[in-house]
Amino acid sequence: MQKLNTIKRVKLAAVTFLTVISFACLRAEQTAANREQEQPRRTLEFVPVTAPLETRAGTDDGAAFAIQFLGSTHGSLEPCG
Amino acid sequence: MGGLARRVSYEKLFKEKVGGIPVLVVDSGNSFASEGNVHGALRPDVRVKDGWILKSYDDFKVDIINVASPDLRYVSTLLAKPESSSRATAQPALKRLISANTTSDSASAMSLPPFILRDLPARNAGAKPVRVAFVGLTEPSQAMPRGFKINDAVETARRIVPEARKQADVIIVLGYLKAETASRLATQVDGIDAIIASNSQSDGAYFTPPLTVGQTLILFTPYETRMLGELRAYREASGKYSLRTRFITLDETFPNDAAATQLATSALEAEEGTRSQSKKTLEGWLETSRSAKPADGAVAAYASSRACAQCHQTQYIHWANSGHAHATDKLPPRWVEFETSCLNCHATGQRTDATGKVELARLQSVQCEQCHGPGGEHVQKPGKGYGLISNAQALCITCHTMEASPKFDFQSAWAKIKH
Repeated sequence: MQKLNTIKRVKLAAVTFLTVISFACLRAEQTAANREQEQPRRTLEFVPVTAPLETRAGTDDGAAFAIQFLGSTHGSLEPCG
Repeated sequence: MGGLARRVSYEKLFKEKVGGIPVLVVDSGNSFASEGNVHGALRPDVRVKDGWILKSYDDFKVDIINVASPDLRYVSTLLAKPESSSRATAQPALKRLISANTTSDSASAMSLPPFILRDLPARNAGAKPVRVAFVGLTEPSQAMPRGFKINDAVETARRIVPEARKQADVIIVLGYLKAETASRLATQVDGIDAIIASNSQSDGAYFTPPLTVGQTLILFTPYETRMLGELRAYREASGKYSLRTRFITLDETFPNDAAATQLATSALEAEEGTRSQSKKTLEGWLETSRSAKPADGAVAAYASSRACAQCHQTQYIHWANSGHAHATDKLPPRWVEFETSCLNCHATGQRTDATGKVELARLQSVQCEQCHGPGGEHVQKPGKGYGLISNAQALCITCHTMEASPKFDFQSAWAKIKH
């Protein structure tokens, strides 16, 4: 009987241990995901063509300045398609 | 995608939505048209088109314009002194052109600045403005205008970037550069914060992703600016700037700005007008030169080779079998390249008087009198002394220039036509 109780205790301890580990891992993943979301800026952004026009200039995110750049237009002023 | 009218529309949206961010617009180069004629000079319609491109840089301001080697075909025509200073007054965009590694061996050509500094207002009250230096670099190209040379981009940057760095908080290279040259610059030249390179050559690969090499961010302008690039800089606590890049596709959902559309339409009309004028002028000249006759009773200054043949039959036959006898035949298939200056060497008797007024050639192809001089009086009163040429080589190379006849060899050419 005592032996049976010991086995039950060991099983309970193991399940508790695994549960704690799983929660800890999940928590760590969530924290990393949150950190990612909290990043104020991504270094590269493609403004989606599906985005409403008025949102395509983005937001004033505190940038000190912006440089808009173009090139390789080969003398064309015309839109192509 | 792309196009001036959509770009201007985005710039207006930017101003409206995030107008507090100080902004500059820059062009990394390869932005003028460069289609040349058979001799390598810009075609007349292309010159007109490029004039409109330059105008667009003033009407819809582009703050810094890097001169790529293909752009030199047009830009070199604007740098000739002394007109260059008056041109720059009329078209201020000329003062915003840069190139650190383009040099001219001619003292008569204005040189381009290697870099330009721009101050952007600080966003915090009382803080110093941000000073940005833009350094211009280009790869060489095969067809360079005479007298211009492209020096090694990395070697030049090693010399110029430290000089710019002393005066600026941020260094940005604008370059017409291959990806590997941009990487070498980032690796071998300290102090460059970002390289913005025009290197896209085809529709198939119109976007090259940015990359970071060492401390330098390398960006590539998408082919034909189908996407507008936007680099945003953030001042960190350390005083350095971190960079973020956005790409905005200039698709049809962007409204076309009305004023920019008007400019693009006028440019297209001017270009097409130039082509029709070239065709009309050539056809008109072919018609009149076929039936060129002097006024009644007048002695024609030019008599034509047929008149020469009356006495100089051997020479006439020799000439009739030469390329000179068919020099005008080259013009009609290339009517789009035609301008009256073609007749200086593809016809006979074109003259420019002291005031610069051009009297168009009266005879087709390169006839006897193109080299020997007007023979009308000689035909009337034949005698010795007419048509002697003291220096044949000097005469030949007035038309057979390095540009027009790169393979021309006087000795072998003379052997063929000697008479």
